[in-house]
Amino acid sequence: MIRLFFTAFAFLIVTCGQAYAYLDPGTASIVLQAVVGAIAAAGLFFRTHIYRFFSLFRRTEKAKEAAAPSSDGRSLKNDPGDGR
Amino acid sequence: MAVDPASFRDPAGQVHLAGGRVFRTVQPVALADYEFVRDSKALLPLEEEGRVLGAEEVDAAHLGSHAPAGGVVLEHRRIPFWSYPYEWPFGALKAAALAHLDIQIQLFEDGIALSDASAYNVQFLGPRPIFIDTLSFRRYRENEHWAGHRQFCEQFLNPLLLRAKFGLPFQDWYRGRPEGISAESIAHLVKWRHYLSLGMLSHVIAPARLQASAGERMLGSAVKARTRGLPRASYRAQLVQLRNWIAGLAPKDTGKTVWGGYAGDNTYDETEAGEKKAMVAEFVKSTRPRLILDLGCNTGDYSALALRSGAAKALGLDADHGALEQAFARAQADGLDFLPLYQDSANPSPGQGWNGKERKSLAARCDQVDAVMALAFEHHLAIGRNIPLPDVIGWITSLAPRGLIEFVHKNDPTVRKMLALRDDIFDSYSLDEFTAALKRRARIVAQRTVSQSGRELFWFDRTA
Repeated sequence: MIRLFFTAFAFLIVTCGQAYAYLDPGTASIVLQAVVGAIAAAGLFFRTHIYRFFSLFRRTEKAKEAAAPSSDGRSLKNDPGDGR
Repeated sequence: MAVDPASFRDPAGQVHLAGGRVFRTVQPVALADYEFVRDSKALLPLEEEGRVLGAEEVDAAHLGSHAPAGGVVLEHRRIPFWSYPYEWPFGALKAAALAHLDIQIQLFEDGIALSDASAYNVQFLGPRPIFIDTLSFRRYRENEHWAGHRQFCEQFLNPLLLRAKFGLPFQDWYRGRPEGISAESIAHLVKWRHYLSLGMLSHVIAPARLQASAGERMLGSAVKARTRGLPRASYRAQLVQLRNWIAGLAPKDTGKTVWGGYAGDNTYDETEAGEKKAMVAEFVKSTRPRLILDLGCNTGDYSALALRSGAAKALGLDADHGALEQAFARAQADGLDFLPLYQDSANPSPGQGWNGKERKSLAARCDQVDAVMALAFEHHLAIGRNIPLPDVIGWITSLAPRGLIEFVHKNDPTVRKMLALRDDIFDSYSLDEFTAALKRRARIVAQRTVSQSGRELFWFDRTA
């Protein structure tokens, strides 16, 4: 999916002709924000949902650990969110 | 009463300097936005955390005839030393970029957007960035575009990419173009592999290509796009994506192993360094500087010592990017009130920008510096750059009313290395010339020999 975005985006850029010399500096930014913003938003959406999807499984594991504490009597406190 | 010469672009208000105090006017045109932001109280937590400079409404009479009719007058506390992005080490520009984006992302939830993205709106208290422009905050207009995107790229992102992706320090280039480094300039350096980076594609390659390729037709498209608007989610996502990207940027090809040599890389043995440190500590304990300037600060050993000995704040200058990175990282990690900046002392920052006054010279910003340390420094100018020794001393003593200067003899190993491949044209360079030049400008409070090679450390009080 992401590759498809890349290919389409790269194609769009490479195929732009070099016809004129001058453009108001803000123009490229305004024109691109729709595309760049949409890709960024889609990226964030997928990241959040993929994370949520996987965290469903992690929660299950955590629930199991809570039910059966490890040998030293502590349950794991690692939140899947702060894996840094 | 003087209007800050950098405060003219935004009709929303101006900064005035009066009797050591800093006032900001809010003109009627900006009042609605100002009041929206103020009444939302969204800035208060940011001010408490020291991320945004506080502003207090004061009596307009402070500004006399400069008071805006129907507007508001604010007062800010003073920043101890005004620095510019072209002087910041990579780590500082990165910290400023992240601070800028974090503030935007946080305030976006409160319906507040920033009207611009100027790096000059960020200053530093020690290694901590603080956003200073109250009038950049305004109400978010539904479906508006991020007006500051291009400016953010030119003043934050592109300079960082220059170092992170291409290994080039950005400071000299940035100083030559204070408005920032354009996407078109960076695009000349782009390799094919950069087309695989979404960030490079979105913020460098695509803008540069469009810039070069379109004219009236593209302007029409931009006007249409602006009318159509940008979804709120896209606005926010751009900020988050840039934030995540910048958080992962690091200087290229400068691993810790390269910088590891700095700590032990000097010509002192431990006892000698001990004597030098003792005199620095004694000087600082006795004079209690509020802001001490450390010329040739390297990784900040002596600034850290000065702070431990009782200096309130330290400002370091050096031209070595690797050392500055380490110094900045140390200040961050140890919570030191120490700001290391890039500066070639043989070519200090000039007054520049519009009318040569928009960005002040280094000397014009040193008004709050009350002590200077020039340790193992003068020979780099006097021998390394052929600057006459009396001129070097004149410059150092012009920066602060008192300080420490170390004199390095010609037979010192460092100077011998500097002269190894060139003729010794420095006939008059001697301790006598040094002492005479210093005495013309200052009283010598103390003088000590601090190395076996005969390095002399002078404590001076400026008289002339």
